[in-house]
Amino acid sequence: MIKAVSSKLIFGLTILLTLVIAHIVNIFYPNMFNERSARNSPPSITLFQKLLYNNPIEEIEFISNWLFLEESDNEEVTRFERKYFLNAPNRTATVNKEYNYRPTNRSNNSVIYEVYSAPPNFEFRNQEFSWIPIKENVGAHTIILEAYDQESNKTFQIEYILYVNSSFLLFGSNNRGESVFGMIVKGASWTLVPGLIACFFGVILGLFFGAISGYYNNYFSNLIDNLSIVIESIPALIIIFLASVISGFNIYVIMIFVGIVLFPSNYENIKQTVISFKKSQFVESSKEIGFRNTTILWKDIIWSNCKTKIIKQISYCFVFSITIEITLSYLQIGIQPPNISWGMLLYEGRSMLLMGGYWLTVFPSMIIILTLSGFYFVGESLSRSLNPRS
Amino acid sequence: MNKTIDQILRVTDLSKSFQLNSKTQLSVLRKINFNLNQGETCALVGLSGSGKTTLLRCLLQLDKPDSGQVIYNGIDITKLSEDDLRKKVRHNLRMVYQHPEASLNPGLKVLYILLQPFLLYNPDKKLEGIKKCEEILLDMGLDKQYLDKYQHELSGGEKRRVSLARALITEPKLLIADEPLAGLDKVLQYRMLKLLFDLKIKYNLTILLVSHDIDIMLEICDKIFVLHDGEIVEIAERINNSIIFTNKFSKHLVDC
Amino acid sequence: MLENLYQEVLTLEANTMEDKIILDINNLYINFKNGSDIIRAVDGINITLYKGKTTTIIGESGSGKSQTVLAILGLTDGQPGIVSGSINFNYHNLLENIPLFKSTNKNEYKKLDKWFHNQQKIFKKIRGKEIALIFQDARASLIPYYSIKEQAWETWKKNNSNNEKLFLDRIFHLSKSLAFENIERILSSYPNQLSGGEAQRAYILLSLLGNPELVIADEPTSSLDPSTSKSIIRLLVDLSKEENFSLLIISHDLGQVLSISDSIYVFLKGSIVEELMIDDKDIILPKHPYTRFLLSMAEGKAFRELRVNKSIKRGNINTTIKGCPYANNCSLKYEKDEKFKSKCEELKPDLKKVHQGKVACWFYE
Repeated sequence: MIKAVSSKLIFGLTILLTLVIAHIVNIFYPNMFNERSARNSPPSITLFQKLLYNNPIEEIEFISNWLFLEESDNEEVTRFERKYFLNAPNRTATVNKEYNYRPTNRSNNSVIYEVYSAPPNFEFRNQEFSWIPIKENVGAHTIILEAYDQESNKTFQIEYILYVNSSFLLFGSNNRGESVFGMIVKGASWTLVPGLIACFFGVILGLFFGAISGYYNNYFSNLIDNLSIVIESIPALIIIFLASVISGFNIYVIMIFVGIVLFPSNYENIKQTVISFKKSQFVESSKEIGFRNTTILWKDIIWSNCKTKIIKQISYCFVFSITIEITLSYLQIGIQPPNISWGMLLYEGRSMLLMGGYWLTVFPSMIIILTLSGFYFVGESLSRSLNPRS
Repeated sequence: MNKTIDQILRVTDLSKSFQLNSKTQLSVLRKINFNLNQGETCALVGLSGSGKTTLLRCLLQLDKPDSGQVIYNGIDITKLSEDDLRKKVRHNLRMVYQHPEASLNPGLKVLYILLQPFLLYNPDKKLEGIKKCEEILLDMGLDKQYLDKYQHELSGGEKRRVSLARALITEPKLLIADEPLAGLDKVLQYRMLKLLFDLKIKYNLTILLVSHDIDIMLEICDKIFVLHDGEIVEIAERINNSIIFTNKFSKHLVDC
Repeated sequence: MLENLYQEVLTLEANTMEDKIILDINNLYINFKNGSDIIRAVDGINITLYKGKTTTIIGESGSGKSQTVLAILGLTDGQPGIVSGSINFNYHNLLENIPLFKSTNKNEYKKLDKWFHNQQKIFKKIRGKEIALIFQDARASLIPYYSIKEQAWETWKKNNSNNEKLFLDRIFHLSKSLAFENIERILSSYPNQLSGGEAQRAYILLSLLGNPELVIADEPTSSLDPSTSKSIIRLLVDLSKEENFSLLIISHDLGQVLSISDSIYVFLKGSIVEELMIDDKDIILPKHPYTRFLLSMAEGKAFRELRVNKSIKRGNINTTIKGCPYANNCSLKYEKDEKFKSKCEELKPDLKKVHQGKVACWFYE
């Protein structure tokens, strides 16, 4: 039946498998990622950060928050870091590595620096700081320096944020010290089961009623037709928002309504297909051979000819329901704390973005995109390989 | 009366009319009477619109006639329920359709298209069925590789052969062919008829052809039923190796 | 006495004067890709059309006859389409500079595609003007939104001048020859308002507007009933004499064209198996068993034999590429020994000159 296993299919199935594993982990080891560690720690993948920071900041006339910190001549600092940090602001540091910071400015005046506020093990001598972050220093630090400009006799306060990451936190941590990676894994449990519920109410029921209405044209089919028109005419978002509010943010009830929102299009699609097949001559000839009506409907029409449509509809339904769940959680009318969902991560990450904490937004978004495209790919490649015309 | 033993099909006083709307009723078939004997090749000819398709549907009980009887091997099949029909009659009374593209299921491979009817009448005999499908395709001049193909991968002629195979897989006694020669050029018409005749000998069939190609029917059939305006105006039999029409309308059909 | 001499000289001249060749196809090969198979739709054929004569190509569907005709006008499907040969129209090769076809791989096909694309401008010059092609289903080939007169005017403008008076003269002249009872009605009708025969004749009218030298009719009567078919073919032949063009008819029914052809080419699976040059239209003796079979079908004899035929000889409908294309169904090969039979199945015979034409059959060696 399945002709060729394409790369898309493998990619999609891997993603689905990962989701299932995350789900299983969540069920059997629910406390795996509960350990709190340093707050606001950036991801341990320093390479990613290095790529982001490879653009020099423009020159500015006056001293601003982003100082150009140059590297010291201390040989213990590794070569790679020396090469890298020459032209870019040094905003991150890794545990157990020594950093020497010398603030520089672009104006020609001479400036004297003094420490106003700094983390504990900062040492300040000869206008130069030196620091070896230890494990307890993981997280964000704010360093405030006072700069006294001798010529204009003014004092500025310069503040900058320094992040120290740890190789333990893969994707960094949030404001409360929870690992982003752990929260992503926890959020994965809201993808499969709610999707299945929406799928049942949207696709399966749509298939069932569509097939029956298409084949047997009776009072019942008229009733379902009108029902589907009514559902279609109410805007989908209103149904979903109402569902979430009325049900008290119960994700399973919300998903039932998501399925109902998807019901009319599936119903009509299948119904039209069945009607058009019913008129064709091979259905006639099946009757002439002696097959029963139910056999003709479910085997000949639905199973042999509608498989591709249904698989596509199922994958679309999953994508839709996951998107709705993320949107609702982002708007804080979906999954509520203490449960964690990807949408909640996006919401929290919004405020961190302004401070340079990209990891709360970028990593969950990447995972969301991967998941959705995984579902799409599986659906598309399965339907293409089951389609006899390809 | 030997006739009742040899007679495979007897139609008496068959009538059918359709309700167009609340006022008009269109009478399509009026008191049709004819017989088919075992082993004959008969043709049903007439202009389009004369009721040929309706007559076929009434013979196969896809539409129930308003009045009259269709007696197959002594049983009046108009009175049978769908279940009884399925048990006794359907596998013996088969039809090949006019448009082969439309009559094959586009979502199934040829193997399943042929296997389905077989399994309906011989449940749980899948292996036997597969062997029979291969055999019957060989009879049609197609080899085993066709079993894995889908309907859209076949050419027109191959589709015709597959639908013919599908009709013959339940080993019927009576085969009805609806316009088997329409749209074919002369050589293909000859080949199709040769195939039908070879199969007739091998499977011991009785064939009823529906066609508008009078010239060919005159050469190959034992009996010709001429249908005009809902009535059988003539039943012409082969006497001394030729068929001669006596009815005015039949003659008119030949001249065209 | 002088008169007799004069007559003699005239007849001598007529007999020795070589008929002018208007179209000469040499060694044409056309290939198709069907999935992963390469099908040789046309396998090395040679056709010569003489000026003023009616030539017919006979063959069943799939024998390559339509492809040959499409090749003349450069309308074959690429992939790869024409791979080798020459088509000389009025001594000008329409397939000049065709790249040498060495093997069946992708690069060769790309070169052929490119050449074919460039060659289109040469084909465009002769399409519709010097060579006209009449397709099978007239009603499907005419534009449904324009009346016949409007379509004719568009065709006229494209190929000739903008002169309306000349156009009207020509249209009325042709309409008379085409035996339209009510010319105005036909000209102002839309294609779907015409009957099958009228539409076919209207289509012929459009094709003849440009005064072509060669008219090709591809199965002009397949969608019509027998009596209309006969009259259309008769009409085409009469027109060919009146308007002075050569006629090439493609058909699958030998009966319809037997009485009007000057030469007949019989196609089978991409090759020509027989050429018949007909001097006397009453005595036609085909030699090739396939042509004989076609003749017996046209006369109805073949069907008569079906009824009493008791043999069940099963031949596979998919045939081999080597050997005579008729080997599977030929009854003639059984008349000699086993060695002969295997020769027919292994080796493909060439066309050999015989009385009244050429035939490709080992039986006639």
